[in-house]
Amino acid sequence: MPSEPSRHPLSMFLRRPFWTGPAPWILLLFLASNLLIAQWKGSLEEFRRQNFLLGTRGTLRAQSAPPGTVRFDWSAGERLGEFWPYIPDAATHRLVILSGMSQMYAINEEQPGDLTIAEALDDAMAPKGVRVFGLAAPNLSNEEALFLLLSLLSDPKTRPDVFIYGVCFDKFRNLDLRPAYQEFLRKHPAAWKLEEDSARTLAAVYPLAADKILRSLGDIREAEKARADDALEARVRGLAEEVLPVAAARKDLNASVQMQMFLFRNWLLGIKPTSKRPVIQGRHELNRQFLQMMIDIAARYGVRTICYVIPLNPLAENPYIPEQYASFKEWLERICSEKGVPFANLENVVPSDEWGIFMGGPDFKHFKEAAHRRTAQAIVERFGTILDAESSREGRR
Amino acid sequence: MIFTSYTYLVFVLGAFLVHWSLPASRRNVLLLLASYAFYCSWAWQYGFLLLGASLFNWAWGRFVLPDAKSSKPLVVGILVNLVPLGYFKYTGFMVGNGSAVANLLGVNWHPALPEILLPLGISFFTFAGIAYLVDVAAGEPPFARLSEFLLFNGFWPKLIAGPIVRADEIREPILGARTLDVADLSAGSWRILSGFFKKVVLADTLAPIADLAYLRGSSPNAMDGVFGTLAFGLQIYFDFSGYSDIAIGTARLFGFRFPENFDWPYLARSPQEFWNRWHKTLSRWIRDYVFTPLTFAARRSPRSGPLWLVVAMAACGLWHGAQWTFVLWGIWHGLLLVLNQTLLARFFQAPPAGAPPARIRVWTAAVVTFAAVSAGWILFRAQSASQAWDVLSGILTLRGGLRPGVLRENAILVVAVIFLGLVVGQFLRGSLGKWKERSPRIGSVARVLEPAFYVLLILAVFVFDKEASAFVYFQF
Repeated sequence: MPSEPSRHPLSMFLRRPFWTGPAPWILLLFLASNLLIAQWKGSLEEFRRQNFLLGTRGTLRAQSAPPGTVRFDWSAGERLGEFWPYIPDAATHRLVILSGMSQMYAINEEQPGDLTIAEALDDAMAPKGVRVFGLAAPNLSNEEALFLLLSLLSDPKTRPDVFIYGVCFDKFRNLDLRPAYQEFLRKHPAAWKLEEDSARTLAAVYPLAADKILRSLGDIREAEKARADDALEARVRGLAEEVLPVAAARKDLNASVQMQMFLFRNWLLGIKPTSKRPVIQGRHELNRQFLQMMIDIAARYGVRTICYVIPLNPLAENPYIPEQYASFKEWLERICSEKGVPFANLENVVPSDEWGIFMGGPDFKHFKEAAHRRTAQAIVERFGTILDAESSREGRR
Repeated sequence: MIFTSYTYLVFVLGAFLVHWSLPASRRNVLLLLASYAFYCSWAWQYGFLLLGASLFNWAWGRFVLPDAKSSKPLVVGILVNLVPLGYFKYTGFMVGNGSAVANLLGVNWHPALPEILLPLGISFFTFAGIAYLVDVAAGEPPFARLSEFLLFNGFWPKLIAGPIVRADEIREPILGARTLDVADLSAGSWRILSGFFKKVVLADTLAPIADLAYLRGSSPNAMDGVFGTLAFGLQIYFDFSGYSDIAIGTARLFGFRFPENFDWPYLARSPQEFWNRWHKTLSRWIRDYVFTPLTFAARRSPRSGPLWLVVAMAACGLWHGAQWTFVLWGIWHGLLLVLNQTLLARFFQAPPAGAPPARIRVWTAAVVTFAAVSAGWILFRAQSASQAWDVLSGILTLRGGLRPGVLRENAILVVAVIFLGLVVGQFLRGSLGKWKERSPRIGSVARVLEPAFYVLLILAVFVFDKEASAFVYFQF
């Protein structure tokens, strides 16, 4: 019997066993899922906007905004680098930075022309030669607030005179720098250096926080090194994003999947936005250290820190355990007093009709535009003399 | 270029197409060039180290060892292999410990610790080189041609994280003509996909959880210790076995069959079985090239066997990293193996399957083994012995009760779901084949669902990629 002629190995792609196996179906299904994702692009972007509680300006580019209208980071931290150049020049103005979580920029029932706290503050202070800029992000942790302060300090042009921080109790659960902030650090060596130096300098006083900062920086450095070592990888990924919708939309898909996992967790554990959730002690302690570190560093650079407890909806149930929340407020007030930091409890400044609806119930943390103005007014009333006080800035710079 | 990069996929695809397009006689040259290109893409200078080690081992195995009248040339060959490993991996460790000992003795010596970049995969190619020399000294035929040995020692899929392949396991495909069919393509691609999924989706998700529980200076509660350690045990398994999968899958696409490296180790019913399922090629290496020679050398005192087992496992620990915690981890496993063979031999002995009491015993043994292995991971993951003790004492004293001090319930849930998935996967693995045999309908349904399953894994790799990591507001 004549032996079968040996075939070229790659000819198997032309033969029946390959085409009757799962491979063609896999290719087809992969193609179909890419087409589907391309179709969903719009809804994924909309989901991202909602996920960040961004208002109508959330997806706009800073560069396309009319002059003078960018007075806070519209991207809520996602494109910090894009909004950074819009921080008023500290060399020519007295600069105040307002920082905190989503309450600072989310506006319930938003109307065109509505103002956020930072904008209302800026309007109030501008006639006195003081400029206010908002740097807020959803769920901003104290580690991230410290990162924002250090980044501002790393450049004389952005070094503020006053750093107002709206402190939110349940953000003491959060840790880590979000990917967008990591990206910012990678691109700003001066901010990186200051972050690293500060951690080393204060390691003896705040060991947990210092170690966490150094670990965060180490992780970023490792990722950066891998990236720098392989510029080719960045090019290949860029190409994949151009060709494959799933690669281009992977961040939005990731957020969407995480959201589903979050809903699954809530369903599984019976968690609601109002479920009483005790603080996680280790995270709480770390966040306490970050906050104190922030105050100490600001003081070293001659920056006045102001802390206030953010307003809460008096009629909405919140997830805080009353004793823990009370003890948090006492602690914050005591720390501020010890460190000479102006403090106010603005918990009750916003009346119940100026809040909104969230997930079918009264929103306990985000309010309508009137409350943004009201909060700004409360800040001016409590701290106005500090905001516009003449300082010896020329001396210290 | 790392295994889980997009570039690696392009690299493999390009090499695959060129390799199988070339005449058989040119394929080894292509693989050799590709291997060195892969290795040098990380740090080209160290390509010379790999080349130098390969040249030495080939020449020593080809010209010196076959005519050796004593074991001295073999010892010299092994020492020459160990010198670069010792320098690159253990200089800092030795200097640090030397300084500590000197200070204990009253000598004020504080040398600056040298910053030495560890060459990629040096532990693996050193062990492969030593195994080759020992095998040749024991009578295995050496590679006659240098190019063949260079390919054996430098073939890129096994360079980064093993498996530690012996010469006789891939001699045939190196010397003879390699073949490829749809089954190879399918098996190789599946292993690569599985490796990507394990590393990118599972290991990288678990890593931050373990990191947080083992944050230096924190005092984790019992729940943090348990779930942080569980997260680390799963992370290291998925990380390591994922890399092995990619190595085995890649090799298969080029006509090589590497030995398996992991076989569902977390349901092992004894420490001994664990080491027969965990990093199998390393266990084999330690057994054949450390433990056996040690016991042979001490054959006149058979009671010293347990001691050599502990010594061999301590060496295994030191191989994993230049820190005392790794050595302690090795000693812990050595002690477990000794117990397995002595006091607890009956407990860990596999009984005949079937009867309910036996089943309970098997399960109990599996749970005890898993707990003992996990306790070992505390030593492996901790940054110091005192941190390991802090985590362990937190668990043993139920610090914080059932309330975590660091980890959120999200993290605990993720760890629990992945762990349960692993356990269910273990059972499905055995049962699915039987179900398919019993019911053709199940077989046809599985065939229909198979492509969708693969596509889901591919999409998961894209979506869970570190660079895709997105911030999500809803975290209450």
